[in-house]
Amino acid sequence: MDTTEIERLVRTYEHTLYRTAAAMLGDAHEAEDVVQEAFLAWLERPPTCPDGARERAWLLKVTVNACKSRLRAPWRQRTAPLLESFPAAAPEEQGVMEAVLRLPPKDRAAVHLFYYEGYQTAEIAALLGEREGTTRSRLSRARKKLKALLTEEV
Amino acid sequence: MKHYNSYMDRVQFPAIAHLELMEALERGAPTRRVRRCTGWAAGLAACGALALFLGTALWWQTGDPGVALRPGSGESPVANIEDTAQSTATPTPEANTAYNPMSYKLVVPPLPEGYAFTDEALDLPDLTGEDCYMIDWDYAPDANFQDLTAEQMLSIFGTDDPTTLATRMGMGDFTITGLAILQDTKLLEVHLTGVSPDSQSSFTLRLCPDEIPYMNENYKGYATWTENGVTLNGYSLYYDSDGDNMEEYHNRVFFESRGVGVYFEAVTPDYTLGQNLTKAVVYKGTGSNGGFTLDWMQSKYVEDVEPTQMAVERIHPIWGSPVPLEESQT
Repeated sequence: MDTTEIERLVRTYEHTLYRTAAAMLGDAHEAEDVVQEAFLAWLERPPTCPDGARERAWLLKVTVNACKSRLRAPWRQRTAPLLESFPAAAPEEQGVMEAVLRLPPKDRAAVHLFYYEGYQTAEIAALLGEREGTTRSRLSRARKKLKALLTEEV
Repeated sequence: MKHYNSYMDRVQFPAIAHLELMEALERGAPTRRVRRCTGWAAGLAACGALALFLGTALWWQTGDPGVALRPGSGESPVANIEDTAQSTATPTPEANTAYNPMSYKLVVPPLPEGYAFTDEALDLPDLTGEDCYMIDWDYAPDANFQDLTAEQMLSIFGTDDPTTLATRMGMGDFTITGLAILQDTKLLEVHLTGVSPDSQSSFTLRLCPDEIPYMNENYKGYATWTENGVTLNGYSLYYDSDGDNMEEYHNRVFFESRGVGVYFEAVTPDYTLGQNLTKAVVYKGTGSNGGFTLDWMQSKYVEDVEPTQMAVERIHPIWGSPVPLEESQT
């Protein structure tokens, strides 16, 4: 693969992958590592992606899998990297961010992919490696939890 | 969710991480970075939202990490959240200066600041005092033993960085030695032994191609469970094995995964250390991102190395008597 091609991929998708990994893992440094893993996976086994949508989906799938692998690990890097790497939340963002962050990692992933990345439930199910019904339940449960958490706060 | 989206819009892959990524892509291998702490104080002053972010970090950390390592337990593992506000310090280059790839001792650097192990436990049944049957066995008389270099030992874990054994395997500060046992050029077993600096804790990791290594002590009543599609077996004992009037935990697990049979024993008076070592072996051995590998050990490099020890007599695995050479070769 030529250098300009991989640079194009990085420039196009690095923020997307990073946000998804950060949403799932909650750790900026681990999210950075996962982004590296995803692009290295592309470099090692370049998939055939006829269009940008499939490029994005392939990279997101690898990112999600790398996050899932890390979440299964018995070790965890204990950090406070959000101060360093994440922007401060504006007052109006604070409540919803806190509520989202209290969801289980896979629910956060589903919420992020649905609300931020704009994927449909079938696509999210494929990315998370689960049935569409599971994703629907996950989103429904997450909405209820978010509603409850945000109501509590008010 | 518009506030979530507006926040996420501002989350960007850091510029320095981008440079590290490009470097990694150029090298074709992950870049191990020295974590930067310089922005920490500035971040504090700038955002003035310490409470929010500490709280956030806690929630991130206590979210269900989805680990299911405990046989027969449905409890949800919880990450250790002590010292959550510590700044990160991943392995620095200085930490590895003592590493000599050709040494026959692998000294694992200490666990870098900022790392911790989650505190869920492998609920191994305690079989202390239970009957067991002993198998007296040994290798074939024409087997030869080769000391492993630090580089070869690391290759078994799929890494070339000794710090990985601290951060991923819980073996920080241990000194590891290794043997490859071969018959002609066929690898029979790899045997790694780790000892802590105070000699109070140790572990044995034995790996065989395609089968679980022979075990001297065989207990009934061990737990069997499945992890990542791999059937695992394990139990624990609690007794004083070295006559120092102090009991140690003996955590033993054995399984076969990806064509490698694994027997692991951690012996330590420190319950947490024993758990961490055992969990890490289970995770590594069953991990989807590559288990233990003997590929490199079975390569020509090993075949070319001269034996460093004499062969020992092979004893029949059941009857305990010496076996004629012809029989042992069949």
